[in-house]
Amino acid sequence: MYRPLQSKKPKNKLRTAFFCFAFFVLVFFTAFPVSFHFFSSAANDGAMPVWKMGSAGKSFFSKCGLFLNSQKALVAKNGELSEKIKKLELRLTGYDFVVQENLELKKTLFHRKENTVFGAVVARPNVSAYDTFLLDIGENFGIKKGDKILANENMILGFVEEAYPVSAKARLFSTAGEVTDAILGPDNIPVQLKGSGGGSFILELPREMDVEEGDSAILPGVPEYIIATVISKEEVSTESFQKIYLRGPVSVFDVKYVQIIKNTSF
Amino acid sequence: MNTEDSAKREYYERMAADLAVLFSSLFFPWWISVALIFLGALFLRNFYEAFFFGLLLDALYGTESVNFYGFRLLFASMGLFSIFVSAIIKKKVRFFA
Repeated sequence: MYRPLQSKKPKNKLRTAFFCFAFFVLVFFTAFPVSFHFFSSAANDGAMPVWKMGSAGKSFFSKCGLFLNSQKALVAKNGELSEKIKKLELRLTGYDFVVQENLELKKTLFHRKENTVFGAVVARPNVSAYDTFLLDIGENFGIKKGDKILANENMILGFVEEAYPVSAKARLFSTAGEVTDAILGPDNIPVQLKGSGGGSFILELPREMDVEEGDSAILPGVPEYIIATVISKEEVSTESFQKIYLRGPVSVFDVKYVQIIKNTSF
Repeated sequence: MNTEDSAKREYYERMAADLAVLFSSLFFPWWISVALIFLGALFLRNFYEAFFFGLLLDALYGTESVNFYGFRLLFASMGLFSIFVSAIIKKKVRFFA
């Protein structure tokens, strides 16, 4: 009669039950995305107080860190920054006036009323695994899917993808694989910017097209918003296309507040 | 060390690991959370939390349109995979015996 030399190892029932449960959860959330939206909403709204507390703690500790800096270093840094501010002020003389005038003229011309609110960014790319922004305002401030996210008066970063009761998630134009129609440079070349993550874009154009470093890519429409600026280009003599690298107007890793334009169709 | 002590120690280790992963998923770059999840799965017995932390990362940061070939629960799957792979590694590598 056959007798096993080793007794049969008992099956780990808990392990089997867990894998069955996990598989069911994955299938359920994939089959019913609405249920995952509710789960996501609960997770985001639940985590919001923790994020806010974290931001407060961060600013407190950064202020505490100032005490550790030496006076000499602070004086030197102060001088350096004052110099920089003077230079920038000289360059920006009249810029605010021109921007204000431009916006007012456009509003008068197109009778367009845009309702804007400011929101704090509680999680940004690097922390956010999917290159998204998490905002501390949501449906409670009338935020809806498709609202535009601006870093400044005329610098667009992306748009609201999901709005929850007290928070919202924004997708960036620079998210890897995201394709955005834009107009490039003074010649108004229509292009498709391809996001490559972390606030950068990539673009391929025929070599004959004249593109310079510093040219801006603009989101077509009224008013126009800057999406990115050309930082470098790569040309290979044997290829008929040139590769153009662009960067967003602000670093997505450092953005603390954004302006959200409500009631606009996208 | 008796059995009660080792059970207590394992309990505290698990609590510390859970808190570390939770804190990192809210405040640290995502790859640190992923590394911690994988380390937890390797060094703790039955670290089923890996799946739930993955699910949390997907819920917090993922959106409907930003996904991996239409599949939205990438990190939850990675958590499940890490539990599965770590069990095999623990069986095969003498270091974990």
